[in-house]
Formats: sequence, C-alpha cells, structure tokens
Amino acid sequence: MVTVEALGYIMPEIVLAIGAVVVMLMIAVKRNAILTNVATILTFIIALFFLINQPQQDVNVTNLFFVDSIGRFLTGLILCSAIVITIYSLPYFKNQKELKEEYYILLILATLGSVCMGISNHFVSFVISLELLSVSLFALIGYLRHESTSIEAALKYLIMAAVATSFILFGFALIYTVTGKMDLQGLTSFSSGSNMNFIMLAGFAMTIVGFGFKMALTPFHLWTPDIYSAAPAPVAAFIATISKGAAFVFLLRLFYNLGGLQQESVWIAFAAIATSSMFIGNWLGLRQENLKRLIAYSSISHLGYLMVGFLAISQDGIRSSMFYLLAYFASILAIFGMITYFSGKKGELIKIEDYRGLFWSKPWLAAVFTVIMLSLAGIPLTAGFLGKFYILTAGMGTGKIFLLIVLAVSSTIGLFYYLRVVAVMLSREESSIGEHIGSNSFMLKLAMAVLFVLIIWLGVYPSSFLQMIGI
Amino acid sequence: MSNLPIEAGLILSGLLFLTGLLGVITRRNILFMLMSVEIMFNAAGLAFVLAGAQHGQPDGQVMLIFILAMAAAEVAVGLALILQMNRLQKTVDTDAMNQLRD
Repeated sequence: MVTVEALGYIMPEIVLAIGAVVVMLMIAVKRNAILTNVATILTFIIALFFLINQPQQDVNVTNLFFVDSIGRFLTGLILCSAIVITIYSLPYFKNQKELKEEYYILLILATLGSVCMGISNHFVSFVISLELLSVSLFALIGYLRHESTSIEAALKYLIMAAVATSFILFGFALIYTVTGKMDLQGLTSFSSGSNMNFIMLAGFAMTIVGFGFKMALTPFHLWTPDIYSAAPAPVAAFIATISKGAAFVFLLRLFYNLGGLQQESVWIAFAAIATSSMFIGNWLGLRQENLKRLIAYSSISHLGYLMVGFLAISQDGIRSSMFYLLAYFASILAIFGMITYFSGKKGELIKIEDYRGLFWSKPWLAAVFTVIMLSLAGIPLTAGFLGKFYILTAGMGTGKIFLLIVLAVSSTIGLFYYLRVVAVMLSREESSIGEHIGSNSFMLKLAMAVLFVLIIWLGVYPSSFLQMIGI
Repeated sequence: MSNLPIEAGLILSGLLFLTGLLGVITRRNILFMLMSVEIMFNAAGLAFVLAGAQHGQPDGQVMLIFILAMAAAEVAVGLALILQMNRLQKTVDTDAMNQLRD
C-alpha cells in the first residue's frame, strides 16, 4: 500500500508530472516562450527543493520504486542538468521558426522518465519510465520538423530505440521465466549461482544488448553520431547526459542485485563491450571534422570508462562511477552549451574549422572552451581527470588490471583529437564567427560560468562532492 | 492445461522475435520496419505471458498490457514522423535517409 509518508519520497517525480500538466495548460491559455521557459525551470527547482528536504533513508515506495542514496544523487543530478538544458533552450529556439512552447512539455516528460528510471525497482516501472523517456525524445529530436535531417535522425532513433527496448523486454521475460520475480529485491533473494542455466544467460545477453543500445556502447553505437549531429544542441545534450546516466544507474542496480557479474561469461561480455567502446570511441574520433560527431564519439568512449567503474563490482566502484557521471555531465553539458552559444542565424557551428582563430577574437570564451576540452580529455586540475582517477583507483582496488591498461592507452589516443580542437582555436587567423545568440543571453552566460567553475572545482577540491554522493 | 514444456513456448516467441528482427534488418520501407518492431514487442509480450502462466502469477499478463500500450504510443509518434518524412521527401524508403553521414 502507498502511505502518505512514502509519497513524500517520490514528491520530485509528482512535482514533475504536475508541472508538465501545468505547463500544457499555460500554453493553452497563452503562448509565451519566455513564460513557459520560466515555468519549466520553476518546476525543476520545486522538484529539487522536495528532493533536498527528503530524510536520508532508503525507502521502498510500493513495489515499484526504491529511493536510496544513489537514486537521490542521480535525481538531483538529472534535475540540475535539466535546468541547464532548459536555459540553453530559450535562446536556441528563439531563432527557430517552430512553435517553441510544446518543447518544454516534452522536456519535462523526458526528465520525469529518466528520474523515474533512476529509482525504479521493478521491471514494470523501468519499462514505463523508459518509454516515457524515449517517446518524448523521438519528438524532441525531430522537433525542427521542417528540416529533413532532423526527421531522418528522429526516425533512425525511433527504430533503434524500439529494437533496443524489445531486446530489453525479451531479456526481462527470460529472466522472469527462470526467477519468477520482477522486482529487484526479489531477484536478489534468488540465488543466481546455482540456477544459472541457458535461459537465464540468454536473458542476460539480450538485456546487455538492449542497454548497449541505450547507452551507445560499441558495437551498438552506430546511431549516436547521426543523432547528435542532427538533433538540436540542447536535445543532443539531453541524450548524451540524462538518458545515458539514467540507463546506467538502472543497469547498475539490475546487475548488482541479480549478481550476474559474478558469472564469468557475463563479466567478460561487459569487459569486451567496455574495451571496444574505449578504443573505438577514441579511434573514430580522430578523423572527425564535425564537432558534434566528435562529441558523440567522445561520449562513447566516456561510457566505456564508466563501465570500468561498473565492472569493479565494489562499493568503491559505484562511488567512483557516480563521481564520473557528475564530471561527465558537467563537461558534456558545457560543450553543448558552447555550441548553443555560438549558433547564430545560419544555425549551429558544427565544423571544427568554424572555430579557427577563436582565441584571438574571443579569448575568454576560447579559454573556457579549452578547459572543457581538457576536462573531456582528462587533464589534471579538471573534472575529467579526477573522474578517471577515481575509476582507476576503484579498478585497482579489485585488481582489474587489464581494463585499467586499456583505459590509460585509449585515453591517450583520445587526447589527440581534443587537443586538435584546441590547436585550431589557437591558430593565428582571422576568426569567422559572426553574430551568435550567446552574446545577448545573460542566463546562457551564467550557466556557462557555473559549469566552468564546477569543472574546475570538481578537479581541484572534489571532497565536498564526494560527501554529496555519500555512498 | 496442456503438458507442453515451457521451452516450446519460449522457442515460439524466440522465433517470432527473430522474424521481427530480420524484418527490421532487411526491409527498406520504414512502415514495414515499424511493423517488424511491433512483432518483436509482441514476441516479448508472449514470453512474459508464458512465464507468468508457468509461475501462476498475473504479473506476466499485466506486463503484456503495458507492452501493448507503449507499443501503441511508440507507433503513434512513429507514424507522425513518417508522415512528415513523406511530406518532405515524397518517399518512405530508408534509402532516402542518407543525409547524415561523416
């Protein structure tokens, strides 16, 4: 039964659901892009307020949700990222011809889906939140509906996501066949060691394939560059951060509860996926001329690093992957913020060449850009470095030496392309950047400044954030 | 109740799933791809119902209803996108989806 007390723990989700309805009604009464944007940000802030004021306990809210410290941390992270993305959206959609208001309903719904996914404790709640997230994303990717590239990207994502979902569903069905349980705590009580038969392994395999698609791990990454390059920059930021983070956390819960990682074959499958993601992500990024595609490959390799923390199978592993998620969210949001910042009348500047000579015309922005790139590459004093450092420590603690070597080698390869972007910006030539939307949006500048400070702060003094993770 | 082993049902749903997957991979018409995805969803639903029946729980059937509902939602958005693609490009063939590449 649901008690009033238990409802208090899912207040953030309830607020988001109500917020979506309120925003919809507001649009019906009066269309105003700025007002809708403010209402959306307010919704997220109220949800965040309820989240912060929750008692720090692990609570089951019915069978479907389980609110614990990981769930709380992820919810907070998602809500903060959603606020940043909403801030990006206002100036970005200002110079588009579309109706701008419905975008925010979809954004709130997608956020609601990913927040629910982070705390879901049951196959049913997971599937529902996954659908809430992906169906909103189809519409968000194809939001600029008069451009055929945008529709093409949305359709590609639709087919890919639907196939991935059906893989996950079939995998769940097979796991359910063997165990007879659908809630994760019930699955924990099922001793996996003795009853590991073929059906169970097939279920694991299909679940891994499905999650591989959702988190864009190699060899299931092929959709990523296309979608990133065609989706509007704020939406691409959403896909790269929030939807992947939520899927990762559920994967973590599922496999830590099921105990599947103790199986040699499952562990090796994950290790192979992580290794190939790290190498292929960094390798394919090397020849990219398109900045958004480059970020796509970068995010593939970053998810590979994240899997190393997942594969450590320890409390330290969870903690380090949560910290890594934080660092990754900050860096990716910042880089998409930059792309939003520089997009102008002609659309986004997505070629790396477009940024040639930026350092000599806009030194401050170029400096921020450089720091973001260094953070993605994992240079000391930035968030990315400490993220990798904690992942390495966690891996070292449980003796996963092979994965650590792969991580170190592949991130060295990746360093080249991040630094190439910096080199292009530093080259002494006339900058071709004309009018851009960032110059007259105070909120966008503020968001960029906050993210910049966060990246440096995470890299220099992480202990306060580690306390926040509190696992 | 018949005495068929659970494996028989699982093989059937597995075959359905493969049929759908093959359809998604080989078809060039996006409407057919959407239909094939639908077959994959229903295969998973069938497996859930089988498993629920085996354990004597209603959960499997509940899951099937959820799967049907979300498949409908997905198709609704999918058809809208296909309609828009047809309007812009005058075709629903996936070979026309070649504008995004390196």
